[in-house]
Amino acid sequence: MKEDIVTISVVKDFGEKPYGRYMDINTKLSGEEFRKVLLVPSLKNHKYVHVDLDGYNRYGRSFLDEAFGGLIRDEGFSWDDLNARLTYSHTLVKSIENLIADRLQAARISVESAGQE
Amino acid sequence: MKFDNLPGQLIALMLGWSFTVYMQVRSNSRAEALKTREKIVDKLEALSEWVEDELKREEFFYSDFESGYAGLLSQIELKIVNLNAHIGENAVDATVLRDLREMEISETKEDNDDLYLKVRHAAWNAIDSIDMTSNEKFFMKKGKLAFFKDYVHAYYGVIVGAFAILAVYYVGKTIVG
Repeated sequence: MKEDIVTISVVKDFGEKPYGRYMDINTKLSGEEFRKVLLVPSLKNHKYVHVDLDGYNRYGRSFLDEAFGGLIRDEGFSWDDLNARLTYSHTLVKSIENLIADRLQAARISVESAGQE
Repeated sequence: MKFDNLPGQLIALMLGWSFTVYMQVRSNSRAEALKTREKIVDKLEALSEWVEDELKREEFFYSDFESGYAGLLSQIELKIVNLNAHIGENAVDATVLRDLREMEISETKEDNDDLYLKVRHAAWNAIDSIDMTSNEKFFMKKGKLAFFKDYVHAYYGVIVGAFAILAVYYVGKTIVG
């Protein structure tokens, strides 16, 4: 693993209008695709990853939940690991950052409660 | 007309002028802030109507609906940023929109039957928070000392400058005799 930081710009590196949860014929820029194509490889190859969400203000809950929460639910990353290595920012709309934090926390709780069962 | 105390008179004039400007700026900023607050409340109230109208349409596109909803929330948040800029501090926090942002939208139209009610309640809660914060800021009596402190804070440079000129003048006058 390289000792470095990489910044992913959602709008520049992925698509101008990301939406939806899962990859399918009708959903070209989904949260699942963003996670699988950009987020997971970046987290595996770099020590720190920053996601820049500027440039688009209509991120849906499902996109953010699948992209970020899916890292814990489906990709096996731990909340502690992500908390230490993954950062994200939206300069104008701070509640998008809050929503990502909430989705990560919800994924953590869901995985922990599934583990206890 | 006596000019013996001209610097003192000029400085008194300067302080008086700065106070008048302060009052005017404060009044304009307050009017703008109240107008912005009204716009935010209107947009929040219209949110549940938008949800209801969209769900009445025959065709329901989940992704369009969700991104449209997120976009409306972002517009409201940008107005909150404007409101804070008028108030001059981060008085209304973006977390007032947390419940609205967290609103779970189902992919099928039928499962969203009561969504507009949930949105309406969350919007009312957000309006309450915004109202409480801005009422505290604009309508609660602050007292003369707090008012004076605000003025001093806003025109600190002018006041210090005025007293510095006065001090230099009188020190110079004492030395020269």
